[in-house]
Amino acid sequence: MFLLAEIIFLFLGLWLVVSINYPAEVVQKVLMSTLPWFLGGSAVYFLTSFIILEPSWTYRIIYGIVTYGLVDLYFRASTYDQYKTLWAFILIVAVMPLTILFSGHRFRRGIK
Amino acid sequence: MLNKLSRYTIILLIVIVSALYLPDFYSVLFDKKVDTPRLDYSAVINEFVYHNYHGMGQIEFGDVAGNTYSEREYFQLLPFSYYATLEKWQQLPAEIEGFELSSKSIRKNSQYFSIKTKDIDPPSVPIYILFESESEYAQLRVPEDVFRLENTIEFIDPITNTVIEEKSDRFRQAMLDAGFAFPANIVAGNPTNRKPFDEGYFITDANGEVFQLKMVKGEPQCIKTGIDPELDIRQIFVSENLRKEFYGWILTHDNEIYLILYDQYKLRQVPTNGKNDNYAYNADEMTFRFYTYPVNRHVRIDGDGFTKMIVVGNDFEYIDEHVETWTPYDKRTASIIKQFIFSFELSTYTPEKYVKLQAEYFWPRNLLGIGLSLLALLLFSRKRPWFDYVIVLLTGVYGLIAVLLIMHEE
Repeated sequence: MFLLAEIIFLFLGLWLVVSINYPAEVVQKVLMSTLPWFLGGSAVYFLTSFIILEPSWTYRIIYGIVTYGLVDLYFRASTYDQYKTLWAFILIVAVMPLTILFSGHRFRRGIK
Repeated sequence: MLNKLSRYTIILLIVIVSALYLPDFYSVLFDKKVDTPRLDYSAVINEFVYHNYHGMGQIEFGDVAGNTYSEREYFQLLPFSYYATLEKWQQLPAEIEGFELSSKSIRKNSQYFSIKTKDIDPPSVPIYILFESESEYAQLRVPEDVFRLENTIEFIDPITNTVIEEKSDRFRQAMLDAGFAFPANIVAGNPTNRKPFDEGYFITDANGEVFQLKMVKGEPQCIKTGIDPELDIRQIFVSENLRKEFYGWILTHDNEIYLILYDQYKLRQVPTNGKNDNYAYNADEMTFRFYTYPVNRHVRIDGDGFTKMIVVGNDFEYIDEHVETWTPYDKRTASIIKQFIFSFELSTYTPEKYVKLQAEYFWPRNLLGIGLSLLALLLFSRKRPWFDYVIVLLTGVYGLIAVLLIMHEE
């Protein structure tokens, strides 16, 4: 929740700052370009907690590789507003919090 | 329950990542690179010639009749491409087909453009700059204002971020006087000052009519070009060249290409098909190149598995054509085996270089990979929840990797 509030706060702040100095077209492109980065940041947040909670090192390494692959998805643009549809990317981030439960369960059971 | 849901989420994420990366790794390891020839047409021997890089610095030079050449001989066959080197070697022929050759005359009478898939509707900010086209200075000067053009035209002062009302009104009035119907649709220009002069913007209006908008001595100049509004225009490209033959070129939704001539904005169709229609041009998959040389014009279309070249004369009269083919990616062994092993592939780039998550299913070839994965799971790893089998059934090898890595927890 706190993360979401923080992201919305930053996003609105960016909106405000950019729209003081730039016309609407530029503002729109700026926001659309940064949106995948915000999503990528959230992905890093969820997946890091997912890795840290995991007790076994083998799993941590597997999760590390998966995390790299997933986070890379959000930083594939080389120019502004290159993401055509974001729904698939938003969905992937949306399911990420669920992964922590499995790590937590294993942690509680004390698996080495 | 939640614990199970969580496990399947992790499995889903692993499937996504492996579907993104494993097919790529496989292609890097097993797909053999095909050396593709680069076609050209020699005006010296009136024959198609090519050169082909084989890696490790090995280049093969030859013509389609079967002769092979050394690098120096090859350069001499193509004086319009290698004139600078030939002049240094003092081997530039004096004339070809009545045209006197010199570096200067060739440069003055040559022009080149290409249409790549990533040039069509690229990501862009719809804010434009309008140069003064009859400037007092030798170079084009980047103007101090920018404009937006959609439901109306508005010039914006970037320093204060406010609309310049007076200038906007003048330009809006000039466009309305020329018969422009807002909103504007396609706005095509060449926003760089590294060009010899400025021809402004080519704009299509709500009715599909094409207008040219320029600024001459600070005053707007909007001209209705009279280009057929029925022409299903997909993109307009503008490129100023001192040859002053055409303003730019038009790509239509039917994959036809037209030049916009200086002669009263008449259109001239560039041939994309020669005498036969095979290997037809498709702007979403192929690269189109158009070369104008002093004695002829070349059209080259490069796609997956072929390169096609059509040579026409200065007045677009047909001269010759040639197609070189090789095995396209989909028909190569490595690519076919890939479709048997992996059930589907995820990719993130569209041909236009946008980022979008898209899946390609290898139906029905993927049945083999899915069947083998299921069999492996049944034989070697019994006693697992039934949903694991569903996952493998749906995703094949990726699912197998995921369910084996992430063990089931009671």
